[in-house]
Order: sequence, then structure tokens, then C-alpha cells
Amino acid sequence: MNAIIAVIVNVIFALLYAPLIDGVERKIKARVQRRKGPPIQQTWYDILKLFKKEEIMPKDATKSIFVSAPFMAFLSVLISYLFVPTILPGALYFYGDIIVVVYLLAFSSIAFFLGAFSSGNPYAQVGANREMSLAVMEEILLAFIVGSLAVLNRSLMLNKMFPLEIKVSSIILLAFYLVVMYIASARVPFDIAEAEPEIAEGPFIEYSGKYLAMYKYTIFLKRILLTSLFLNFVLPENVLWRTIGYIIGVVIIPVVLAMIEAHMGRMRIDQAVRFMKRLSVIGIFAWVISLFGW
Amino acid sequence: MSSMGRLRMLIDSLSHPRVTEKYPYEPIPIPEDFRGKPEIDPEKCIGCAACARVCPPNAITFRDDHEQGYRVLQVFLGRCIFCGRCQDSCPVGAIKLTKEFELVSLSKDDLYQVVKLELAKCIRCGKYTVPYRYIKYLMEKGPKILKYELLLCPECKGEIMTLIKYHYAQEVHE
Amino acid sequence: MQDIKRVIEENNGKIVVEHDYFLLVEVSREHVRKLARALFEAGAYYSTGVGSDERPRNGFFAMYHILNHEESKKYIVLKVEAPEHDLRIPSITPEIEGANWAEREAHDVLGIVFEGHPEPERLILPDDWPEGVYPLRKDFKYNEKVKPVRKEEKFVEREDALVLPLGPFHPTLHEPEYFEIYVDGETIVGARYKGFFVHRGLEKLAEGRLTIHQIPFVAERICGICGYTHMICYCQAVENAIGLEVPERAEYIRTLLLEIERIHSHILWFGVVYHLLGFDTGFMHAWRIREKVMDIAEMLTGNRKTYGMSLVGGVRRDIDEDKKEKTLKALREVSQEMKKLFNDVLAMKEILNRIEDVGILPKDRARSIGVVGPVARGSGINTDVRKDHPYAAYKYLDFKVPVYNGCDVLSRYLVRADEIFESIYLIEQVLDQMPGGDIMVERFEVPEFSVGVGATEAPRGEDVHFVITHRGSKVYRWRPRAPTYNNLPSVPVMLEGEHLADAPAIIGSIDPCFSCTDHVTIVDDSTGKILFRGPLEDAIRRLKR
Repeated sequence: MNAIIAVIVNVIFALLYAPLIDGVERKIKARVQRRKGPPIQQTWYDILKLFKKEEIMPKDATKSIFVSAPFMAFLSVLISYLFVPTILPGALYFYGDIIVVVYLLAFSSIAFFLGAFSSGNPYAQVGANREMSLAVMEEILLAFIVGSLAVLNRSLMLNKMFPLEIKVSSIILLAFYLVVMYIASARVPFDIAEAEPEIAEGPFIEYSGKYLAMYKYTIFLKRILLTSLFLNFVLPENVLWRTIGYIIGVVIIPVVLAMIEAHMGRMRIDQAVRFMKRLSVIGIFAWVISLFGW
Repeated sequence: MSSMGRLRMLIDSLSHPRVTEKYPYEPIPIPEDFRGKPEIDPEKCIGCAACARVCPPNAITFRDDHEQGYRVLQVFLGRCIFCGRCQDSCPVGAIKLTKEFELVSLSKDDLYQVVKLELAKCIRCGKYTVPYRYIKYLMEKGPKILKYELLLCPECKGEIMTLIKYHYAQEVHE
Repeated sequence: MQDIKRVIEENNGKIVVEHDYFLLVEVSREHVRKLARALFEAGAYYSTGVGSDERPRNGFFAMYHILNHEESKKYIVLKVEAPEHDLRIPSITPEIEGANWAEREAHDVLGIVFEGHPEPERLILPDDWPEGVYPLRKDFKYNEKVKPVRKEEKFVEREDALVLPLGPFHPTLHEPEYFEIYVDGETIVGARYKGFFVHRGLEKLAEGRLTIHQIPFVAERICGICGYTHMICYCQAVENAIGLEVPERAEYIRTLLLEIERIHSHILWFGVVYHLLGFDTGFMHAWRIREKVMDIAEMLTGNRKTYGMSLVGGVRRDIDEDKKEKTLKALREVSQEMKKLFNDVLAMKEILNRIEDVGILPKDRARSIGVVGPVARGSGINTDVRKDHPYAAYKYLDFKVPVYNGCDVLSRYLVRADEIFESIYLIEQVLDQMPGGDIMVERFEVPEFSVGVGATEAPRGEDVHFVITHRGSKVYRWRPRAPTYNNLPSVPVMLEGEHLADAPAIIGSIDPCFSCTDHVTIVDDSTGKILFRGPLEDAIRRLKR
């Protein structure tokens, strides 16, 4: 398949689908709370509405960073889609692309952080600190995953890992990856950086209009990226089965995660960091097993 | 683990219907004694203004026009607190709190209800006194007093009482 | 009982009125401090203080310190007087911490100087209220407009910590309040509270414009959640002042509605706490269950919230068999569902980790600050107005008062959870035992210048109303003191040393009802607009320059 066409289709799919599935998640959370909830296109309405709103610039902000940070975050996640296929199995693979994807995700966290600090608001500062604590731990956990994958597949190229061979280590890795994916998607209990009752939306507090829209959109895109990565690891190479499997997976996984998220309480940042430290034991375990070829 | 409670909650929610009411697309059930908008039945109202006297926020007011000879009772919903004291104090059950609660309007006039009652005239000097219907009510239901007292204005009543007392005192004296 | 009288007499107090609810004790300025100290050591805590301008009567200003002595089941009202030309009274705050706010408020509204007060700052008047103008004095008309005085707000700068303004607008708070939190990283090193943004001047309004029968409706609107408690408390204060006995059936109906209010208020609080902890599903479930209680309230009183069911002398509406049946059925469902919800939540480790050992308020501090309600009961203090000063039908009913010793947010959580089930049990007893008879005393005399103290156990704690009657259906002085007024000074104590992330849960754990606490809305003369004074507005003004 022509990789360029596949990439274009994949990116457009991601852009259209990410807010839509967030709408579905809201409906699911509402049903689980015995409510009707907003229509599934509500998230799209919200993003479009934000684009039409006026941007308010805080007086103490460092304007250049404040304005460019949302774009940096959005673009870094969007660029990752060049290497991670969604609905069509084609991407711009090259040696080391998995590391690039990890770095791009890290960069989006850094962009959040920079935007928050440049706003000059103390709440954003607190939120940014939390974001960085989480990001650092996420990177460590992702490092174990990347390391194990590299050992298992003797390669740092993503298409060699799509799908993974069925081994003990790969199953443990996938389970581990799901947990890390949940944490990186900023879902309760890990939505600590943007905790609304505690720090009034944290890094986003001074953002409005299209910048706020970009930030929210970035989070939705990130979630679909991580989900797609997981699906690529498990779906077969046969194009027809893969597409069917992908569509089912990219709907079911967010729905299940939403149902789980609805029944969790938020953690405190020190508790979350401690949790992730304990989680890294599994990462080390998976890596060691993969060294033995299991 | 700590999942059992969550799982139970999830299954419980999924096995019960949504609780979202369909209002305003469907009417919402209102209990019998709901305290909604107060309304005066102009046929029953006797104009005693007891409601105006007990209304805590002074949403019910009255004004007597002694030139034209009528009393105007006004209920202003903008001040009403829907307490129902007016309903409790009305001797004839003319003002009642209905079950209506959708009181939003684009025109402030919709928030006023006005009842106009004719004032009776004093049979001696012709001045306007209190609403005619109020006098009629007191004649039928009130304590047994001289009917004529009800048909006099306060000043005339005072003068006649003085005269009566004077004559009575004179007779006793004689 | 004899002991407390002895303590009073030994410390130069003169008992002038002995009522089965309270003792009115006159004490001179020289001896008030010692007497207050003695009473505190005898086990009383500071409930509230009321300043009063009694110059039309005897030429003096008076300060009434109201202490609650649960052991002898009496309120002890200490009356200290000071003449206008020498308006100074020794402060009792160094002896009892809890008097801090009451004395500052009396200073703000009457101009009484409390000598030796550790923090003599303005409390309830807005920052741009001119000096020397005391609104609660009798020569200040209730509708008098005051010219605001422009003053620069001093902003606190700290070297060691980040200043985080929690309020006046913040998602955590449901009403405007201001907690200035000093944060080092994620640890709170200190907090300052500044409130009274929604003070509505009700006390002055009551003196100026309202009759004794209109005030219950105003009292009901002090709070959005515990309105009926305020209404009853006021009615009780007046009934105590004039010595009126309310018919038994009315007492039972009052109890029924008070307990319904407690249930709905506590369930509301649980929903809010779950939301603060990130567990929105818990919030939705709690409020869904609460709807059943609101429906009962609507069926019984005609409105979901402002019941309007009480006047001085009794209640306005009766209850029939059909309503009894429906109430019991609905409450059974509420009980079952809340039990399930509580069990499910207590199994959720991440939520327990956020509320256990968080927001500690040690027992001795709790007593000296004078906290009330679940905040006190969560710190091991067995205090409940329903048991200590039985009112309405509580003297005939059987119930437990839950007390937990953890002193943390979890303890207060458990206290409120238990109280819901106790309330349901109380309502079942009420409906079972309700006697027949009248529900209202139609006519009664109101003697002039009678002092009355009414107290109820609101969902948030002890609610006290102090009333001095006046001739012609008016009141001379009315002071509603909501429970949150006594609980708020404990928040900076609870916040110190805690994580910033726990601040909302800690503030929420006292179940703050700020509308209750405040009583001034300043209307700008020229535009008729209502303005909020405070740090936020000054900041906006600075930005615009």
C-alpha cells in the first residue's frame, strides 16, 4: 500500500475520530451514572465553539512561549501519527522510529509544561510541576517497554513489531503497556495535572479560545495514538481482518476505559509517583524475561 | 481487591434505567400541596386585604382610591416567596397557591395580578370607606354588632357613638 | 448544675435570669475575663458572641458572650456592659480562642474596643467601608448609604512560599470565600482566611423593617441547605424569650422536617466530597438518591427546599396517613441505596488514602476554637444540641450520637454517614409516635425586652439564635449564628502541613456553608449595582490602570 496515502487517511481518521470517541465516552460515563448525558457530537461542538471564542492574554505571560506551546503540543502528537498507523496499515517506518514516537510524546508533555509556566499563574505552576512528575515516571515506564520490545524483536523499527509474536514476555508487556497507556491518557485517578477542584484546571487555567481547544484536542489525539499503538501490537497482518479488528478495538477500548475511569477516585501526585515506582518492577521483570527470549 | 464494590456499582447502574427526566419535553408530576403561583379569584375576593398584611415580602399590596371609590389589590410575583401565608389568612379562600411554576415571561406585566373592588359609601357623610363586599361579608359572618356601624366611616361612627354615649349618660343621670 | 452556678458566683457573676435553657449572667468588665476562663475550665465552650446597642434603654453598649455548658445542659450568657464614652471591654480571646471572631465582629458593627485582642482586624465589613461608621448602632438607619473609601489592599508577599489564592472564585468553593494558602512545593505551610463576601446585613434589616412574624421567612433564606433549621431556631429563641409552649404535635412535625433536612444536607455533602476527590460517579449516585428525599420534602411542605412550615408558636401544615406511608417507603429505599454506596466507596483504596489521616484537628484545639457538629464529633468531642439542650421532640426520642476519634477527614465522613441512618431511625419513631392535637398556638403575648436563646443541631453543627424582643411585634436584636462561623477558624489549623491537593477535601470536610456564615451586600449608590469588595476587585482595578 502506498504509505503516503495510508498516512494521509490515517491522520484524517484520527483528527475526525478523536473528539467523537470522547463524546461516546461521555455518553458511557453518563449511562453508568444513570444519566442521559450530552449527545456524542458534543465534544466536537465544544472544540468548534472554543475556536470561535476570544483569546485573553494574561498580563504576566511570556507571550511567545504562551502562544506557541499549544501548537507545539498539538503538532508533536500529530506528527507521531506519521509513524503509527490507525485504520490503514501503512506508515513512514524507519529505523529508530519507536524512539522518535516516545520522544514526541514526551515533547508534548514538555510543551504543556512550558505553556503552563509561561502563563505566570501560580495554579498553572503547581499543575506544571505535577505534569512533569508524571511525565518523568511515564518516560521511565515507557523506556522499559521500548527496551523489552527492542530485545524481543531485535529491531527498533515499528513495522517489525506489528504484530508482536505471542510469547510470555510480550503478553506481560502488553498488559503493562495497557496500564501505562491508561496513566498517560490523563484519566482519573491520574488526571492530577488538570485536577479541576484542586487547582482549577492547572496548566490550562489561563488558556482560552483556540489555544485551549488545541490543548484539549491534543489530549484526545494522544489517547487515540496510544490505543492505536496497542492495537497495532495485537492485530494480524491480513488487511481485512486488521481493519475490522481495528475498528472494533478503537471503539471498545475507550468504552471500557471510560467505564473503569468512572469508578475511580483521583490520586495525589506523591501517591501516583509511588504507584508508578512500584509498577516499574513489572517493567523490569518483563525486560528480564525478554532477555531470556521468553 | 478493591474491584468488587466498583463492579457491583457498575452492574447495578447498567441494570437500572436512566433517571433523567424528560421535562420540558414532557410535563413533570407535581405533588398536591405544591406551593406555586398565587392567584386571587376575583369573584370570591372581599377586599379585606388580610393577605397584604401578612405577606412577608410585601408582594401583595393594596391602594384605596377615595376619589373614584375603589380598592385595588395587587399581587406582584417578582417579590412573592411562595410561602402561602396569604392562602392561610384569607377568610373566604379567594387567594390560593396554584401548581403553576413556569412563571418566566418576557413582559413584566405578566407578573402582576390586579383585583379591583368597589368601595362602599358612608350612609351619613358619603365618604368612601371599605370595599362593599367586605361589609357584606362582615354582616353575614362577622360578630353580632350594630349593622349600622358597618355602614359608617370611622369619623361618623365616632361622632354618633359620642352622641349615643352622651344621650345614654343623660338618661341615666335623669 | 449546682457546680456551674457556684463557679459563676465565685467569679463575680450575677445570675439575673434563670430559664431551663439558659442563664443570663451579668458580670462587670473587671471580672469578665476571669469568669470566662473559669467557665471554660469547667467544660463550657464558646458558642458565639453578640454585641448590642442598648443606649435607648439604659445608655450602655452590651456584649453578650454565649457559652455552651453541655454538662449542665445550659447556655450561659455573660452580659458585659460599657458606656458610650468609655467603650472598652477586656477581650476574652486570650482565654478562649473561640471568642476571636465574635469580638472582631462586635467591634466592626458597634465600635466596641476589646482590649488585649490578639488580632484586632476588620472581619465582616468590606475593606472600603469608612472608619468610625458602625452600622449596627441604633442611630444608623438600615437603608443609609455609605460612601466607599478607597483603600489599597496590602498584598502578602512571602519569601519561603508561593501565595496561592483559593477564592473568591474557585471551582472548589460553592460560594465566594478567600483562603490565602502559602505553598512550598506541594506542602501547605500556612493559610489565612478572609470571608464575609456575601454578608447581607440581615441583622440590621430585622431591627429596622421586619416584624416578629416575618423574620422566620428571612431566617429560612439565610442558607440554601439548612434553611429550616434557622427558621426553627429563631422561632425557638422567641418562644424561649416569651415563655411560649408549642403544642406537642407541632414539636413532632418540626422534628420530622428537621431530620429530613439533615438527611438531604448530608447526602449533598457526600456528593460534593466525592466530586472533590475526583469520583464523579459517586457524586451522581449520591444526588440521585437525594432526589427521593427532596421529593418527600416537596410532598410534605410544598417545596423542595424552603419549607416555610414554621412560625412562632407551631407549624403551619399537618401530615396525614398517606403522606406518612410515602415518606417511610422512600426513606427505606434511601437507606438501602446509601448503605450500598457507602460500602462500595469504603472499599475503594485510592479514596480512603485521600481522606485518612488528612486534615487533623486535635481535640484540645477543637474545644478551644469552639467547633461544632460533625467537625467536633470527628475529633472525639461528644456534643450534640439534640442531646445537650433537647428541643422539639428530641426529648421523647431515642437515638445515638456518633463520635469518632480520628480527628481527620475520614472521621468527619463517618460521623455524617452514621447520622444519616440515625436520622432515618428518628423519623420512623416520629411518624410512629406522633400525638394528636393542635399544631399552632394562635395568640400570644410578647413582653418587651425579653432575652431568648434558641439552639438547634443543624446538619453542620450547633446553630444559635439570640433574640431580644421589642414592643409592637418588632425585635430589638436578632443574631443568627450559623455553625460554619465556628468551624471556619479551624481550617487554617487543619491545612497546615498538608498537601495542597488535600486542601479542597479539608475545606470541604467542615461542610462549609458560607451563606450561613455571612450576613453585607453593598449597593453602589450611583449605579445601583451590587459590588463585591476584596482582593479580587482590587486586583482587577490594578490591572485596568
